Amino acid sequence: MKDVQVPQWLLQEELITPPKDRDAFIRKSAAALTYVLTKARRIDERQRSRIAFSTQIKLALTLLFVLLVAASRNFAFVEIVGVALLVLLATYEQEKLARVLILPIQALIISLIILAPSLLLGQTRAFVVVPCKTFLTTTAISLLAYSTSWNRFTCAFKSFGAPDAVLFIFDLTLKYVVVLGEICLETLEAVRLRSVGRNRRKAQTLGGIVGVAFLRAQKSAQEQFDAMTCRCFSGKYRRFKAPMRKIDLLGVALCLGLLSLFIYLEIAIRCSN
Amino acid sequence: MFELTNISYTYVGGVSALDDVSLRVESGRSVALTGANGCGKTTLLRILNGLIFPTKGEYRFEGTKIDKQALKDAQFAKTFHRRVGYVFQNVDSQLFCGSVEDEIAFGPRQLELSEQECRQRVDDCLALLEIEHLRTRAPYATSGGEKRKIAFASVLSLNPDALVMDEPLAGLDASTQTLIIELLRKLREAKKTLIFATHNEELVQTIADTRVRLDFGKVVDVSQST
Repeated sequence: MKDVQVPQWLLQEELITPPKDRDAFIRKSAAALTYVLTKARRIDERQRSRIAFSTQIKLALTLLFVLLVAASRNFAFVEIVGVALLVLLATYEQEKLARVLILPIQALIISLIILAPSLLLGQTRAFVVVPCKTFLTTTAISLLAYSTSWNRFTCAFKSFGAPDAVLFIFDLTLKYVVVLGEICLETLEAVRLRSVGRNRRKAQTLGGIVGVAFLRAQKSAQEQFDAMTCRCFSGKYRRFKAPMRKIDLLGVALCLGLLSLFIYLEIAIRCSN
Repeated sequence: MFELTNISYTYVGGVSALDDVSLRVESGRSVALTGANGCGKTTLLRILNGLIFPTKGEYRFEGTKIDKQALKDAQFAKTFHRRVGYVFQNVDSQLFCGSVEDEIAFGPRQLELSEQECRQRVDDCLALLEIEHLRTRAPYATSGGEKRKIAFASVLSLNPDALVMDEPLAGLDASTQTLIIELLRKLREAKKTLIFATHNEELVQTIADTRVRLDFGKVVDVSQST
């Protein structure tokens, strides 16, 4: 048995009144991080989405949608696809709808604020068109993000010919967003538990948290790569060839329909000019 | 000192971690929480430290209800956290300073103890945990076992009245395990309250006055050591 010499101060009870300090930043940062992580974990439910197309089709449809809405000069196109998108959103439950729409609404508000001066210059069309396009494109991306898990994104990008190095970084980044958040949260909790008085080195403490997160991110990424290597990962992602389903044919038809509508309305606007 | 009355805790997504747990720990007692992985030990320890709050039931520390509202009072929260030290299961997250010395001095400096007293505490804790040679090293650059010792030292330097530990012997070699068990025995003799989650039978036999066995979030057995 080891003879442990415990110092006298540790054996006595202490009555210390902690000095006052302004340290709400730790509590607030922890609360904000907890909120984000809770949201990120909830995203696991996204598999049960109403959009049943394969990820490749969803990705292609979304990219095409964003591109065409942004390029469209005929506002009728924006109105038609807007109505279609709203019909799709109407099938969502209230809670899921709120999660999908929170970012597009923020984007809409920001674009309205930015474009407010255009009203003073009499540019009312820009004030309507740009926020509408912003809202529609961010909603489409939000829907895609909500209805697709990260590993399916990797597969979809591979089928579009993305290089392996890009896919590897993308894959690890997505995996570690939540893990790193949890590391930061745990470290913030440790700081909070030991913040028992006045911290005169707040910046240093904050730097420590960021440093710990960075070092652990690097270590985790290396370990993950080593684990993948040990399981025969050679740095190449295989192209996933999913069989085309009937619902995917509908997705392809939607892409073609969207493109045709765009071309038709663009020609129409040129002829009218 | 600690009183939990019919507490339950459910994580986001509806996973129940604790279900109707009642526990009373008197000052100066030592309690071991045992049970299979995922039975709710860590959740219980996090509630005891005020890191999370029960979704049902009530937790009181020396008669004061511990909830979000109570810990919003910064002075109370600081006193509470000084009196209840917590050694994390994952010690990696517990260390955030540039050197081991700074890590141990973090708490005492916050209490505005004199620099001489801070240094004394750092020296004592380094000697107590036999990590004097790590004094100037960066905590992240030490081994897993050394990190656990540093985490212990950084909590002990605050001289808490109660020590809550999550798997305190995990990842330690036999010699260090003996050192920690002996240290905890001395702290128990000094009437410190000790609460720990463990799978180590020797630790339970040597240190615990009471063993609380959890299973699927419920207390299934409470036994006093002979």
